[in-house]
Amino acid sequence: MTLPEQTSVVPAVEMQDIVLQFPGVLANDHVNFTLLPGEIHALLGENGAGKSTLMNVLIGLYKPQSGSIRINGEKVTFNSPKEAIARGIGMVHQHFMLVENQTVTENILIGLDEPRFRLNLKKYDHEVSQLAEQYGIHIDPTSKIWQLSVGEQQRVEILKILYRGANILIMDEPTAVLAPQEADELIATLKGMAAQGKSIAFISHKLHEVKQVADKLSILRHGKMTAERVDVRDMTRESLASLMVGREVIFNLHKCQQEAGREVLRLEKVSAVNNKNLPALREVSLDLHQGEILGIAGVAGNGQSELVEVITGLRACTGSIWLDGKDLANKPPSFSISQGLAHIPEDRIGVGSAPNLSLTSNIIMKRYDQEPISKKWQLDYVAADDLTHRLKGEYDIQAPDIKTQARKLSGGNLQKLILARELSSTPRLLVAMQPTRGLDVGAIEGVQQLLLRQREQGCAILLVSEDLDELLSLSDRIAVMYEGEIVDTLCSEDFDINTIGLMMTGSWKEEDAEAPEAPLRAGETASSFDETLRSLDEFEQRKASENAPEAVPEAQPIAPEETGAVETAQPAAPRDETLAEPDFIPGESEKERVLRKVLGKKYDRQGGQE
Amino acid sequence: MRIPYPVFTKRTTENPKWLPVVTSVGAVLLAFLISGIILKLIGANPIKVYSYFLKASFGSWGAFSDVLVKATPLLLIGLGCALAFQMRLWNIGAEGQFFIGAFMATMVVTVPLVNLETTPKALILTLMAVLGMIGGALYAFIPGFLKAKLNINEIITTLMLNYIAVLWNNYWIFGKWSDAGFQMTRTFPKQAWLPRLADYAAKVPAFSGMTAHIGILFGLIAALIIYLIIYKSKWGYKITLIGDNVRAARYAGINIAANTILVFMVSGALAGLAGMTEVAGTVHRLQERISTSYGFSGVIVAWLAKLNPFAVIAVSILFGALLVASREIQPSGISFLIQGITLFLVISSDVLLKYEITWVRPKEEHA
Amino acid sequence: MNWFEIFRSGLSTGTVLLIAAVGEILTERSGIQNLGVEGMMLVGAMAGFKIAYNTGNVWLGLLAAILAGGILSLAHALVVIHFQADQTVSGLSLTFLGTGLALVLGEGFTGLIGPVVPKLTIPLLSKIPIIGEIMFANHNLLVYFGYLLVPLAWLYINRTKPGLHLRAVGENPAAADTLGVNIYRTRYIYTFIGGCFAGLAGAAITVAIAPGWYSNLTVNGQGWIAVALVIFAHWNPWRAALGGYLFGVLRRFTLDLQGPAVLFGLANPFFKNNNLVFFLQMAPYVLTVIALIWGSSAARKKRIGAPAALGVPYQRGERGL
Repeated sequence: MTLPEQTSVVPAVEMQDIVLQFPGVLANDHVNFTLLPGEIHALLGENGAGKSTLMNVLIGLYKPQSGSIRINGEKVTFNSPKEAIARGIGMVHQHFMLVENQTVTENILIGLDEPRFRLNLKKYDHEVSQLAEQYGIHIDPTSKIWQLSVGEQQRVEILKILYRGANILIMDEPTAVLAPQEADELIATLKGMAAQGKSIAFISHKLHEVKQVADKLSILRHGKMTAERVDVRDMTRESLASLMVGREVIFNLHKCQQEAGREVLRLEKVSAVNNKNLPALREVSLDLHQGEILGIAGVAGNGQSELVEVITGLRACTGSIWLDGKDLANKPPSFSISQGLAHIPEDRIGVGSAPNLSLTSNIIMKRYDQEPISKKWQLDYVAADDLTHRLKGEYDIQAPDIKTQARKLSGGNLQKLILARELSSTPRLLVAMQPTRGLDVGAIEGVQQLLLRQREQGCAILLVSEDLDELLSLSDRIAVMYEGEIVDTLCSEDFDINTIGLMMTGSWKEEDAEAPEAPLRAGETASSFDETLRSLDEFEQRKASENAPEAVPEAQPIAPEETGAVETAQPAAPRDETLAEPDFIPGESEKERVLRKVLGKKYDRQGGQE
Repeated sequence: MRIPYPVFTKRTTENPKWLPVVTSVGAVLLAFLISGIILKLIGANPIKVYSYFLKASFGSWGAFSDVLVKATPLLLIGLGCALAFQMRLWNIGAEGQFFIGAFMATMVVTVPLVNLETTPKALILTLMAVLGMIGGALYAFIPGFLKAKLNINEIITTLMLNYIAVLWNNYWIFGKWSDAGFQMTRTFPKQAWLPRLADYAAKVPAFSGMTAHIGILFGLIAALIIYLIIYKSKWGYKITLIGDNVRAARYAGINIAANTILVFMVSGALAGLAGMTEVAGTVHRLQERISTSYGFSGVIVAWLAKLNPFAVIAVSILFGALLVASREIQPSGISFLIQGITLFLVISSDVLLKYEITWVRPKEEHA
Repeated sequence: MNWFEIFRSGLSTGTVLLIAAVGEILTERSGIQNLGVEGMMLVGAMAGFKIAYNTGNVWLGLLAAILAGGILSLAHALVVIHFQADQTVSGLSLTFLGTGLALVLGEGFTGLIGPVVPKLTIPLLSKIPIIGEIMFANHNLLVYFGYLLVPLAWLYINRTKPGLHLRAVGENPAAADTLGVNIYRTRYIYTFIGGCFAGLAGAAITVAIAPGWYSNLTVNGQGWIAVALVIFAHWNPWRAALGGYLFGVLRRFTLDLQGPAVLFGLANPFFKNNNLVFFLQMAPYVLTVIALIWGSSAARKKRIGAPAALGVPYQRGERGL
């Protein structure tokens, strides 16, 4: 449903009727996308919906079979990224495209015509510094990429495209790797750039973020546009989600209250180094009980991978790791597997499966040594096939047959395969690392339900996830990791996204453990704008959850991915007045925005406060 | 005019079963064709050369016997390579392991390790075979260990060890074990000769002069064992898993280092056994040239057979024929050339197994 | 024990290794591993000698060698870049292919004497005491070429724009691709260049350093030593040169060991027992293995590794949606 647009402004980007076909997949099905100057336009959709593909078309990586692209009113065809870049389009990818052992300046200079042959780095270091200052980005151009933090690396990406004169910026899931505070910083930077006239396309699947940053919103589902240039303020989280998925999506998983049982896992002062021989875990201690899900929150790279690796026997460490009384530390993976430890790895293709082998071979990966698959020195492939058939049905793994090679499975089905393998051995301890990353909403739901079911059956689960929402809804307790240490462990009553966010970025101090702030009253100035804005958001979220319907679904079997007919968007009924105010009016300063939000209708922009 | 160009798209469906066989056979035929063209370029007559090939290898039973003789080491080495390649371990050192195996087998006779007069023939030969395998296994342990513990590129280490093995043998052949100053040991006594068809010429006159020996039976038995290992056993499953995705294998609890060393040793043992059959069955002495690059040809045999042990039997006979026939042909490098081209074509044709090719006519662009 | 001769000879034979190694460094920096260097060197050695002999012009021979190596490496490039075949096996097959081609096409040229690249003494530099006589006096032109090649290669890789692109393609091809660098073309070019250098190195043997064609004994493993040298050199031309020269020196040293009856005051065992010479001949190969072991553990300590994308075929569009 489109709203009437002002026709006098020439759009920065106008894509019409784009069709992009890959072998076997229609990635974009007659899609339109329009972006106005100075606008932040969000593209929403689940994984595989086609939003990244659409933007890859815009950036010149793919050529559509049909459809037209207009930049600033002029029709263009891009045969390569170089041509798109020449037109002022730049893309910051979700996975950074940086050469780690080169400097910032070197990375920025790749692919440019200037300099021609000789590389005079000093001159370009200076130019990069100047450009960075202009947009308020602080970075040392001579530092190597591997020395920078994730947020800084992202800023290098932004500098890369700004240096090339980009006026149209495409951000692909930019906050996926950032802590909440870093994400806020990024959003502020983007808004600043939009205010300077840049047009920004923002790909995301994080609904609450989109509401924070975007002016307009378009939604893709299975390659088709289901909502085009919708005003962000007209949508609720639920209506957005259902547009993305096509059916009602319930946000609150029902988790029954459980008494945690006996202790299953205990880590005592575990330390380890990472692949670069730098300390990755510093005397980490934690405990985990039967029937409990312990979530590990933290920005990637703070020791979570190493934590999982020391528990599963893939990394050496000091200290002790007790699994039901047996010390796992520094024992090979075969030992922990034999003790009932199941591990869902972060990398399902690179570690979790054998891509060219059949489903059967993948299923028996950890039980080829056990009856009935094992028969002295032989492998009973008939028994293995039987087991695979059974699990394939039970976990609803979509594949032509059990001889299919694992690499032909979709992400969701591959994850189901891995889950089938790990969960069917009724483990005592399950270590799950990013189990729902890269999956679409339907598959995510299915995986989460499976995890909850294991919990009900008494399994102890260590859940590492970058998705804070997931951790909040699934975990009984959450431990936050920062720079190899556990900052604190919170129980479910104390779950507070801001506290966790502060811990994740190491900004947590003991004094901050006060009661959450009440919203400011008129006339009060905030001690810091960030905190004010955050408490305002929190207030909005609390209001929203009060209005949301109570949801108590029964545990559902994993639903197939195909859902059915496309539903057109219906704007939700207007809710509480406070929330009907637009998040962001172009041109107003931050202070004005805060006052407007706090005072609501009483705030008159022209006349100031009453 | 717009030239259509091929577009490669990853296959999503299973390959027809006949495709790998067709590509392998096609590669061989094409290799012969290309080599024929090259022969023509240097002034030789390819038709004459190839018809001589056929006669010299399959023209008579005697010729076929010669083929089997040449095929025996190829078969054993090819099997060893097939096992190693299943785990993506590139054992290019079969040549060196062959030489060391020959050395160890020779030791039985030249030291001598047992009393050659009184010990029964079967025992002597068994001892030689066992020592041959041990020699090859130990020599393969070195690159296996270096790869397993230090992750050192096994291609380079095995290749270097090849040269070292030849020189090691030379030291003994030119020196202590030399037969009256010639560059070879003395001929082995009859008790150290592998039984061959000619031994039964009294009973079956047709066998007279045929030098095919029992080594070929070793090879056939080895093929069966390797088949059982790879396709039926738990160990074979582990090897296959490591070869497909070593990280997944580690995650599944498999000891990569131990299996690396073990597979290398088995591969080396087979090459060492081949060395023993050559000195005990064919030349009956240890000399400097006991291999016409069997080690390298074995690599090609394994790859052409797509690592299937029974296909290795067929391919080793084919290459054996090639070696027999090219003994008397000028230029002498022709068999090497054909083998090289064959391997290259097989690798190129592997692309057909992974991708479907469609020809696309680029669209005309209208302004 | 003429140390001057040993060092001079080391520079000569080391030049062969370093030319091939620098070529392979360029190839591997772009992400392609070319194990066919031995075959390419043989083909270059044969082509260089044959053309030089037939035309009487040694420079034409060198040109032919360069082209021969380059064209053969294009076959590897095609199979590995476009067909995405396994780089290890393809490189091996190219060794066989190159060896076969060289043996067949070089038939009948064994033992002949052909034209040689001229020697030269550099006027001023050769007057420097000791070093001058070792490095700049009466050396084959190709040795001086080697001296220039190393710093030029280093400068090219680290201080030029095309060198920046080369490094980027080898470390993170996806990054370079999104910035408009043509990954396929870059890899083809550097594989070709690497092959050209390998061919040149082979010809350096047959028309310069150790003149004459001796069938498959001509190169005899030096191609493999060059590949090992690249790893030992951490993909740095200076270290490759150092390693190459060191190798040459050690090789000559072990040869000379057989000469004197007395060695360092003790009776020379190699003089008494001729057959021990085989152990000396093992030296280069044993040294290569040792160099590999030392190189890999040092690399682990300093956290320097191969170009990150080495050996991994590049496919655009493999990013998950």
